[in-house]
Amino acid sequence: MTTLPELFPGFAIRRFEVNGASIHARVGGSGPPLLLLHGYPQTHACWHRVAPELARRFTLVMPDLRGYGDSTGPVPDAEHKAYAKRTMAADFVAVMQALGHERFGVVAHDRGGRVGYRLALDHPARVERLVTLDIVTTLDAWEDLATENAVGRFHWMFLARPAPFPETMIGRDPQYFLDYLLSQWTGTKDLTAFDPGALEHYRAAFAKPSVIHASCEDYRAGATIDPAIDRADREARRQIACPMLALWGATRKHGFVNKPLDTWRRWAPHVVGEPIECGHFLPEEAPQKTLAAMMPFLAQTTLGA
Amino acid sequence: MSATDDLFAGFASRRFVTEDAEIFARIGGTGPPLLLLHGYPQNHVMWHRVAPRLARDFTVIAADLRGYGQSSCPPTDLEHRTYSKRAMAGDMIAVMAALGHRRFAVMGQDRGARVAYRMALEHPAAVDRLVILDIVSTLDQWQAESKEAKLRMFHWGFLAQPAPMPESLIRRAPRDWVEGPFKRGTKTRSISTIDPRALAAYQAVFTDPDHIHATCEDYRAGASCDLADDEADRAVGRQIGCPMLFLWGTHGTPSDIDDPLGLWRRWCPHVLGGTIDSGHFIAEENPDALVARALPFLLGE
Repeated sequence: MTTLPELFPGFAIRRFEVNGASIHARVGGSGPPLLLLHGYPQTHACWHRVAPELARRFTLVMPDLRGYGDSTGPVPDAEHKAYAKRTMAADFVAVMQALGHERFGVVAHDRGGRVGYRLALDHPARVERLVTLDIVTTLDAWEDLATENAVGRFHWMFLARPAPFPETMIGRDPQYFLDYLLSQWTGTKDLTAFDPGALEHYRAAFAKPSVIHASCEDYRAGATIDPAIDRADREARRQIACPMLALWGATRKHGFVNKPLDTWRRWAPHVVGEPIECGHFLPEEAPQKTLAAMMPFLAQTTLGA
Repeated sequence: MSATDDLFAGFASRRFVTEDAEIFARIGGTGPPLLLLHGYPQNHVMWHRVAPRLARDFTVIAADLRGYGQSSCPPTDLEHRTYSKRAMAGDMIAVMAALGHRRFAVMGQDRGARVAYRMALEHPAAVDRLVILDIVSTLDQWQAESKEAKLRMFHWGFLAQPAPMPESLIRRAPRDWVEGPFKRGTKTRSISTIDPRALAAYQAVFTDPDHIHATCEDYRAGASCDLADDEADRAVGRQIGCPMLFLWGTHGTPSDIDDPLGLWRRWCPHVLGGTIDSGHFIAEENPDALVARALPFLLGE
């Protein structure tokens, strides 16, 4: 079975103590800086199929979000601020700053996607361009929870219930729950899309009680403070100023995303995008199509190495 | 069950064979028939604090829905019709007919209330009075827009996931699972308002894989055929004709929904109703207030 270093040949491991969190990241490549942010219930390993090609053109920084993988965050607070996307976005401003990157591109999937658009809204001077994978904003997603979406996105409500209820229900057999979600959200409804080594890594990470608890906190923030911050931005008409590309999975029956471009246009009038023929896990299910859709957009970077 | 654990002293225990299930019920009291239908994750035991008082004026039939309590768990089908509220209502019509009751009053809580309003819609000749506790219709609940309402109904999406995911999680943590709704849904946010013997009775059922599966099927039906049945009735304007009383907890499920009585008025223009100082589990949290509100209505006063 392939180990993680084998999935990322030539990449280095770095750790950053920033913003009250300890962030683990894999870095490598050469060219303008590009921050890649993973989603739930995964880690930075989700980028392994696209990282080699991206690394030829860009300096990649692939962290684990606080609380996920090998990154850790602080003890949760009652307002879930510690796992708010605003807080996570600040983590990566600090990480990129520590690496000397004042301005950078962002490619972001799922929960990481929420951190990515929050970064673009909160720190417009930092984000040169933004690619989101298979999301709309947290606020828009809450506003679009009709029956089919409410069943398809049951975990938004389940994981956001007060601790320790979801933690307990998941924690008796974390691998079972992880495998279920990974299967359910692919286009093929099974685990065939995932590299066995990456899958083992996701399972090992999700077996940690601290990861289960922190990821539930991520969703508790997603049910409270995150949409409240989105709403404040919407009311203030704050928008995403940088170039933005939205990609989404075409084959999910109960998608995360309805009419994603129309929805994103309210936040980023100049957004472009398209569906990719796969489920939720674009970089693993359809790495070549995802690269083909991203590369022309990323190549327009105005940043130097 | 030992005699001291029996919360329905003086009530008979009966089993009834219906078209494709076997239904268990406790029966006691004298007077016109009153059918009591429980909710999730419970069984007929949830009526233990009101049944003795109701039995003074009524012949009380406290039944377990198919898939719950001591009733059987018929094999499911791909469309979840086996656990539709229509099928569950059919069971209860058969039970009451076996007892010689062609026309009767029904009081239902939670899932049992969904069975009760479906029965009132589809068997108007059978239901002479209807009391609905702490729900809006399945259609109206799915359409509830507030984030709070969606969070409160998290289990609708969870239990409606394809088998066997929710079953597997519940089987590994049945006690925590059953305690959850009481910790979240009672006004005091604790299980202390629930009689320990009743809680033990609820938890005992959730050690059985067949009942865990059947109760998930109840919610899979809720996300598919029950919703479709409500939508079909709404489309043709079908309504509840009998007198109807809707009571909900000040801290109950409909408390996150704007004007729940108004939602019921679309199904039953003459519906009466109001709140009771309680969470979701009114019959156990505030039994005296429930009796004070429901009994005069059931007696036709």
